[in-house]
Amino acid sequence: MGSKRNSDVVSVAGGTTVSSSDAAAVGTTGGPGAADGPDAAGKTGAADGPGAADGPGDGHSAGAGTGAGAPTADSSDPAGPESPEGPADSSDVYVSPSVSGAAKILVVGPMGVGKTTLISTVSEIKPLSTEATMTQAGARVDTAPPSAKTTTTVALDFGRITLGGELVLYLFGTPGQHRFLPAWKDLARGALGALALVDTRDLSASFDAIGHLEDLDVPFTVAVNAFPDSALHDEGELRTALDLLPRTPLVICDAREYRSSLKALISLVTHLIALNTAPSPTSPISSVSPAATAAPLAPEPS
Amino acid sequence: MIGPGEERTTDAVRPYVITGGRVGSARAELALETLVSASGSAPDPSLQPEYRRIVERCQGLLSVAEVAAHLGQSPAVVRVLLADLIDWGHIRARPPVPVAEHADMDVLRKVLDGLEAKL
Repeated sequence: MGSKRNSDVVSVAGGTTVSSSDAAAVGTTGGPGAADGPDAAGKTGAADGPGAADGPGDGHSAGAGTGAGAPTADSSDPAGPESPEGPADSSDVYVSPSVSGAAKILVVGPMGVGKTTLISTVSEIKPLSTEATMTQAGARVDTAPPSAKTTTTVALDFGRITLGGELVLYLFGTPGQHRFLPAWKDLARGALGALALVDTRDLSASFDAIGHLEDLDVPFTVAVNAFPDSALHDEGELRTALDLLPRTPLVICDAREYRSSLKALISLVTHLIALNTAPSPTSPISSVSPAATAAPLAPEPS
Repeated sequence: MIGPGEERTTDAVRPYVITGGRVGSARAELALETLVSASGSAPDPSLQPEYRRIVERCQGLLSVAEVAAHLGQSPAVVRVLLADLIDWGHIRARPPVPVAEHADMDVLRKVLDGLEAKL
């Protein structure tokens, strides 16, 4: 229960289209900046805040909390590398013209677990921040009365990796709380898969994110972001606690380290390839043991 | 909580005025990772500034998400404006690598090779 954090409220960016339920949530946590719980403070950079303080300079987002978004935790945090100051090299703004296509991977997990840290560690651009909006709700904005608005806006940090000169991979950091599920559907569409970040000091905080992935049928790999004071856990215990299927990979990474983060992504993609090769990737129970499924256990329609 | 009659903020509406109230057209929706770039055909100076800003920003290849982030606009709005610009021939889109249900093997191998090459 203690894990049911409201801290991702910090991420509600711009306030363009805040739903009434989100507005209520903002109220309960005292607004951006106040929302980050103490236990998130010690984590890697509290990097999941709208860390993109470089933010889009113009437009609506200027007022609403770009400044407030920089969690105080940053100052006391050892995780330096994820917040390179200063503007990105402008020559690197654009995707190479040789690139012919794009793919995306989601990086999911609770506030403070290190999503933005991992993204900025591997991204070739300084992570950008935009928002995910529930599109079908937005379609009604011009006709529905205000009380019917259900649009949810979620801050979304993302980065980019150009691969082999012809493909660009986008990594979208996606907050994992239950009320963001609608925005996830839009984001998950077309995603290759997801890296689910977990902090062993608060496993339950990751339940929502992992549950969303399962609900939306997005294949994933779990990456334990190893914080310096993380207790060492037995892999079996972690798997049990997270209720993972045997075939779901579980890796340990340090989101601040380039190679470590890259290896976590490689583990995910290797898993995705294995799933694609497996005979029935979407029915795990039957794929585990074909013999077992042959048992005539189907309930008979009385 | 916001009561029915209360307007919390005009921001909730304004971006959609830019799009004429449209969000998500019948056209295939642009994904956040869809790459777009200016085609080179100059937009009419009488176009709304929001359109022109997008074309200016798209002098190189960018994803829809990047365009939105650079301009500080909601992706939902940027998608609509981009779709218009594509219709008018000012912007070209390179669709995301087609992902049917899950990933295409060829794409996955390219991603894997690309990531391993960076180790």
